Amino acid sequence: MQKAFVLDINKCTGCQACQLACSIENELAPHMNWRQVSTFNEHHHPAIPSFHLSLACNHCVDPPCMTHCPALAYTKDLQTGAVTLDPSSCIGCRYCAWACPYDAPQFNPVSGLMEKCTFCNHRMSDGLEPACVTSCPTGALRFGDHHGINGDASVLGFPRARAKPAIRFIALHDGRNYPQAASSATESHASQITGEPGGAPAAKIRLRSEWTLVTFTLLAAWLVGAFVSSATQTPSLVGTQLTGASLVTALSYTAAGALTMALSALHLGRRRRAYRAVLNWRRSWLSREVILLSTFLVMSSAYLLLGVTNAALRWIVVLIGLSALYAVDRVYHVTATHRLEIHSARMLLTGVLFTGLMSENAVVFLTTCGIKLLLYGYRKIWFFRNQYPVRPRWSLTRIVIGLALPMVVWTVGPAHVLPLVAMGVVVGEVIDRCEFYVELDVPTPRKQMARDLDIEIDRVLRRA
Amino acid sequence: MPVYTTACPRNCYSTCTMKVHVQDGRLRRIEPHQGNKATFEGPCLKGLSYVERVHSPDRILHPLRRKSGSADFEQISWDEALSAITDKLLYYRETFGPQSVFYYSASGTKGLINAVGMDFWRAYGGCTTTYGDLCWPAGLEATRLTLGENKHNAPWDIENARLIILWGKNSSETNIHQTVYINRALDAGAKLVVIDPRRTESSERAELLIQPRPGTDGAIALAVARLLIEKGNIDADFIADHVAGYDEFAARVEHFTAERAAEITDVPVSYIHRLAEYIGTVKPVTINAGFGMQRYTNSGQTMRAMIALLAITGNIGEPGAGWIFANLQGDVFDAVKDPIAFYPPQTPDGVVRVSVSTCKLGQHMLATDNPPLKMIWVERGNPVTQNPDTNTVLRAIRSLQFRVVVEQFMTDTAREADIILPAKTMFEQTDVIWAYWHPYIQLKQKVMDPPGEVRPESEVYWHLARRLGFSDTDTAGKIPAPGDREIDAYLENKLAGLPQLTLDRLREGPLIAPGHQEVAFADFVFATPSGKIELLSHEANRRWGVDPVSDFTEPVESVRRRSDESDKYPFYMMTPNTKNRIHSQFNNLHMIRQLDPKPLVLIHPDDAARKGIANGARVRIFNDRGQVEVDARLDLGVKVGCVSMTNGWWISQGGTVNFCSCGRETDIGHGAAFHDNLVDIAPV
Repeated sequence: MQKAFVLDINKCTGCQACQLACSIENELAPHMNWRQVSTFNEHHHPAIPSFHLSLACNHCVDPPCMTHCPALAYTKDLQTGAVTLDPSSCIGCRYCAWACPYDAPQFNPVSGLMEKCTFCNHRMSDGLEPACVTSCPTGALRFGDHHGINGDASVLGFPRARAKPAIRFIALHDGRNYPQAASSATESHASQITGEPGGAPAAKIRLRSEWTLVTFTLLAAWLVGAFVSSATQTPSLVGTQLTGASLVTALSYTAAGALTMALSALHLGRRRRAYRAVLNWRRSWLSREVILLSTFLVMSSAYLLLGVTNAALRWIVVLIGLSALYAVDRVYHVTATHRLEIHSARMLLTGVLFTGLMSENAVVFLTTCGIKLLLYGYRKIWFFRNQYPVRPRWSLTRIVIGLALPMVVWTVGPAHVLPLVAMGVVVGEVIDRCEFYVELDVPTPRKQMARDLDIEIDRVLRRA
Repeated sequence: MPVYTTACPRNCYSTCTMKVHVQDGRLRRIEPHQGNKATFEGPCLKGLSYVERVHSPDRILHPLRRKSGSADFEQISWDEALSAITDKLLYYRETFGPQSVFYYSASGTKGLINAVGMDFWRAYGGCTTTYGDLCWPAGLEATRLTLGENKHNAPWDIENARLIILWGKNSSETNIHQTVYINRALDAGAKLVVIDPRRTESSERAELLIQPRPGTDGAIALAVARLLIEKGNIDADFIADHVAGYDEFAARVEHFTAERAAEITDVPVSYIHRLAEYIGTVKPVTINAGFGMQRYTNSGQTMRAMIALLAITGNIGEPGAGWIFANLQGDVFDAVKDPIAFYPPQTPDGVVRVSVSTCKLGQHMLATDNPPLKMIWVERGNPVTQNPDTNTVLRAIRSLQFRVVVEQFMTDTAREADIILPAKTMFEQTDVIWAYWHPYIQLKQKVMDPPGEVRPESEVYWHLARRLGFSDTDTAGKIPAPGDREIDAYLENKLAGLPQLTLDRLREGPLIAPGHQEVAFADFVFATPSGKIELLSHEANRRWGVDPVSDFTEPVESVRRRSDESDKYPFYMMTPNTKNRIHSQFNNLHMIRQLDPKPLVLIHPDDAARKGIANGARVRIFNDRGQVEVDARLDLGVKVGCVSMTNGWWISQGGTVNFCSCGRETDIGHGAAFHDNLVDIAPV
């Protein structure tokens, strides 16, 4: 029987006893908190309720962490519905944290592993409730059978997702949503409160910690581009001699491939278990990415090193390479990034761009550049309209050096400046890919609360 | 894993019963205990954090001595520590007399064994000590003067109320277990009104939040009384039977119109009307007054006016009705109860000099003469952080020759010590405690031996008594010898007159205090001079020189009293408690600190804009008494004209609020008027 948490928003005072009880019961390291309490309307905007959400893992009926974990480290207990993580299987890739909209899996930098709420399954087997429920001093946090408990499936500030989370909320009672008080809501109030004394909560995906992924994905696209351009047997910028290539070139290619795979493993908490990343090929695009990309790199390197000339095999490898880039892009679909499907830094597109560049195929190159320019421009305008950061200097650099100038020079310039074009293109792609990681947006309860609060403030102001 | 029943002895309403799991000499887990109807859902986060507190690497486990001329301490043996203290005690008694030794104890830990301290000092020949109290005297005295006794309905009875007024109380943070019963009342259709200059956690589920200018609550009460009388929403029979001084009171409120009160309190007139309508038309009404609101120089009179609202509407002595301030029904041990117990004796006994007001600690210590103070002994307290006017307190403590501080951690006060003695925690010595909210007597059980070289205070006193050569008659029954059996015997002796209470029974769980009245004053017996509820109190006038009928005057520090001070310092500084601490305890623990990493001052965005303060900006809060530098947090729930910073932060953690507060007493009861505290705030 799937169990579920029940949180009565009327009763929760945000005291955080649940959070401490969890940490004590599960003997968490001092910097870890499996259960966290977030506050809606912390600044007390008038005529808007303030309340708390005490959340840990919601032990979803369709747990995205489990679906997407490449290492098959997650299991779901059929007795209780508990979604648990086997620490001996976890590779510390953090992909489950991207997939979970509730911020449940937490990375422990000391152990290099993910950790999360276990539903206190060790207590349940003794007939006890989870420690957080037992310790709630107001009775706001309860526990019961998922089916048959009353309550709402969602509440303000709770991320909307299709995971079927095993949690129910008792919504605020009508008439006691917020106190009637003499202070008034003005627009200036809302805008004055920006920034937090403690600083904004750290984003789950940060460019600084994900630079290895930027490099890894771009290298992958470059290598696919290099091989495809060699396969099309047109004169190639880098790989002029690639087909039937010199041993040196083939070795460099192989080394770059090895470097690519090494980079991909670099961000794992447990690198020695990297092999486990392929286990969930049935469901996880991360596993598929690893399998396709390593297959491609091994086959393409072997193809070049051994000097194979079989056209059919060549095209199979090309297909695997392009599929690998598609898989790279699909990996990021677990996040909720705006306009991800048409992002100009999608690796498949970049791979084609690199192919056009290296094969000096004007049609491919100019078309891809054009598509990227459109997508990039569209995204930035959309950002501007929706008040997301536009980063105008980077955008301008990316457009001018990375797209516009290369297109112009390619069309009208002399052939010997092509290496310059290539450098410009690479710079542009690096900027775009970095922005891609900056824009990656994993929903969390805190972010959802901030968004929902903005909507509520707008509504109150309009009413006034 | 052995599981023990024990109780949390902090200075807190809830005084929770809890189950403690101990494994291999370590506290493993703390869980709810169903035996206490008031706290059955389990302890708050602070209670849970004992798991860290007891075993904290920061705990002081050995006697320490200050290295001369240094801020550092060195570990010394108990023999060295006791010798050094004995030598000083002999020297001061010989040279200046025993009253040159100042014994300062506070509310850090409840328990009957705390009495050992004063018995020791009496045997020593005497000492100087404090009178008054930092916490609650104005309210206690107002209640005593009006109702005759400090008692209220059992905590769970608030479930029966149809109108609950939390007046200056933030139960959600300071008495979280009460919210269980408030929620039940609300679910059954009761109304909740909160009166507080801040929008607090407790006001979130209220229908109405009245935010008066600090220190003006009395004007609201008097205006509401006038409206009740005007509309005939009073209980004439109840008044005739049980109230003395109604006519005088009615005459007093005659000129307190809602308009006038609105002008004074800066609250909309309609809110005052609504409050009066609720109180006049809903029954039963429970008013629960907090402690913060009675820490102004006018608050004794304020509290008397608030109780009067219940008296004239007949909301006393019934289920779901009444005045909740302090429930001393659990104090079955003291012949003289608070607040009388902490007043200076009318005839000094010549042994213990009760001459230092704890509210004016620094000033009075410095002014003490004949003999002047030479040495201080501090236990269960952190006066540097928690008493008003920190700068003067520091000056006074530093002016002494010798300082002994008994502590668990390196608090601001411990840092001032010459010798620090390691203090026990609640798990390391058995004691009996009562509570001031629920009626249970509880055993705070020893569940483990003290770690390191920690010795309970009673043992320290016992060793000192032997070194000082106290006679057996001095110590028999007063200073128990070391050992669990001796402690049990000491406690059994204290319980001797109460056959219902035995240690064996208490080991099983909490016991309701003998003679407990579930509905206070259900017998309509009021221990006042007139035997009635006194709205006219001659004793108030005689003892404290205040108007015998409650009245409203501005507090000494008020923005409406035009003076240089109020021009210079236009903000009220509020210094409330937080769920994360009991005064200055718990904040040093990692578990707690991660939730509340640094002191913040809350300020309304309108005030912040006027002062050029951005959210998160570093600011200085200051007045002529001192200053504290913290980060600002913009909060639309704080009344304009107020800034709010929780008390209890150590200086070493970013600054105590009491750099700004004034050593001043409340109008009645020798309480600390902490909140008569005008400041200014500026970006740094």
